[in-house]
Amino acid sequence: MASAGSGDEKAAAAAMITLISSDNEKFEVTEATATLSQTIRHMIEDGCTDGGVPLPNVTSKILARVIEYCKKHATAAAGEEGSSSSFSDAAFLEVDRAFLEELEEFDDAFLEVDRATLFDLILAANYLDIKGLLNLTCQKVADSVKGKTPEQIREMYNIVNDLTPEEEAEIRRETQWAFE
Amino acid sequence: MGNHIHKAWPMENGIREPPDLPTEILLDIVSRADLVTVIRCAAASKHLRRHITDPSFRRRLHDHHADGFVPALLVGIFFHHIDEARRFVPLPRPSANKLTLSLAPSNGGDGGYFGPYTFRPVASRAGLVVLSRNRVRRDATGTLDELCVGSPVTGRYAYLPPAAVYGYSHVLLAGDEEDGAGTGRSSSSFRLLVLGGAWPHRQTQIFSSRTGRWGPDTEPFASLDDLPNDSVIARYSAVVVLRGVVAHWLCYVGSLSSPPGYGVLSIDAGTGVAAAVEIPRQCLPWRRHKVTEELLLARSAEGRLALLVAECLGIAMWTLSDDGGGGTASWARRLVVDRTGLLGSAKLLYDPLGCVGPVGTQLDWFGEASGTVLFQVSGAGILLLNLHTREISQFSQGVAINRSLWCCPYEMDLASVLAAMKSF
Repeated sequence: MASAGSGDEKAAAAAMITLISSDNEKFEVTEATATLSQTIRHMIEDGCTDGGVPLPNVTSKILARVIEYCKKHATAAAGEEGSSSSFSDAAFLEVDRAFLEELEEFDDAFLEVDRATLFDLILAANYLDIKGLLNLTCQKVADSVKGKTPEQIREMYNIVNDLTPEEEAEIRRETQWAFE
Repeated sequence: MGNHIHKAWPMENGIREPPDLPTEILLDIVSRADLVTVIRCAAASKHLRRHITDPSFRRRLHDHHADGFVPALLVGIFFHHIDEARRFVPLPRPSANKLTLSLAPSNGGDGGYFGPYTFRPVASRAGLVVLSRNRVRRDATGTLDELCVGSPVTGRYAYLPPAAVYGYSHVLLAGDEEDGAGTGRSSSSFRLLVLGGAWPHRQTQIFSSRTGRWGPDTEPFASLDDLPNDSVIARYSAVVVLRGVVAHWLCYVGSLSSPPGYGVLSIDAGTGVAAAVEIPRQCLPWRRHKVTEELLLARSAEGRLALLVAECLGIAMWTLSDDGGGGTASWARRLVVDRTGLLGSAKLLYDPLGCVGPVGTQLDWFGEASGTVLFQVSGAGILLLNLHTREISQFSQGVAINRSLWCCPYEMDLASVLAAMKSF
């Protein structure tokens, strides 16, 4: 990774993509970064990215964060490809390990956001079809639901309680042990 | 899903109301949670409940908890000690799950007395538990093995009529009402296989909840190819069931054979066929001959027979590539967790150099539904390792390995828990 050739950089620099957020802000990203999104990858393959890619479902604030994630993980993907072709020397493995740890730290810090932003990131990852980001953000929400009561779960997801008190009582009786 | 309309308006103080998530994503998130949280989500609304109780949600759960293991299915552990009350410890710890379970049958229980004639859990599967106690026969001609099977959640147990075979190992199997993986199978139907007999002969007998009777006891057998007649069952309570019907026991081939070693006895509850598999020497820690506590049968995520081995450098898993038919069986090794990972995830009571090591680890049991291994490490205590996530959690701290630890995993069967939930 550290020894990425200047040739690669030139090739990447040649292919820049413009992403346009819902509030009309433009973001220039490399193709390697953009193609972490399957949605954009397909658009590139279909040759319909000239003049920029409008993303009417993503605000500039969220798009900036998504790009931050993609940049970091695109480097990681490039690193993986690079290391598989090189001989697996102990020093290389050490570098990989350090890089993976750094990536993990990045992900942890990346997820330190309020719930509204986290949900926005989920929606953006889903719309842009970025598997890694969707997985990361969904897992974060799943971890935070642990131990919550049905009422807290409703509040968290903005779910309307349409169960009658009788039905609720019946549900509790059925699996009493899960509610105590 | 794609045309979701963004409604994230900024609010005062910069705090926004989170946007609604589409049902698809909501279900994806729910399916990543533990069993208790899944049940609570199913109590949030009719809409969510309908989706969670739908069979397609079970597939989703399996996708996330993957590879045939669902870690959340291990809801707790039964402990039983001769000088201590039986107790149930819910998981994960610290837990929102305050499940209290009864091992004293509410119908004709054994009161508060704890001793050799107290019921103790000897096997469990899919929410059912087998309790066993020794009873002196009325005519004083010896003892008999009194068995009952039931649900510790309801506290109701069914007493089984006495078996012809005095069983020293008990295996719970799915009921025989339907062939294959039928979903119509009632969760409370079961078969109980007991392995017993007078050494060196072995005998089995199967109880069916459908008929309410014991089947015929099998012809006693002693030696098998690959398993000489001086072999003994090494672990009575660590039985692995593959394909729902084939039970496997670890055997020690010791006293008379040369060189001593280990093998696996398998009995197919469907056909009654007994077979044996040799465990090659290369799988075993090489220094000593008798290493029973460092070995544990398990199954791989793909459903193959596996042997867990506590080595100096960690815990390894040997998987049998071909465990049926006339093909040549071969064992392949992979390291599940290394020493650093093992010690790094536990609070140690003394120097790491004294921990793990050749005699510092004891593998106690393997939970087939969750893929969890319970083991003890001297200087650390009781640890739980999940074969799927490879996560290790410390269950309790302890200085020395408790060689007489008697515990039994309690695993739920996801399909039956969800299928039993009423949808509104």
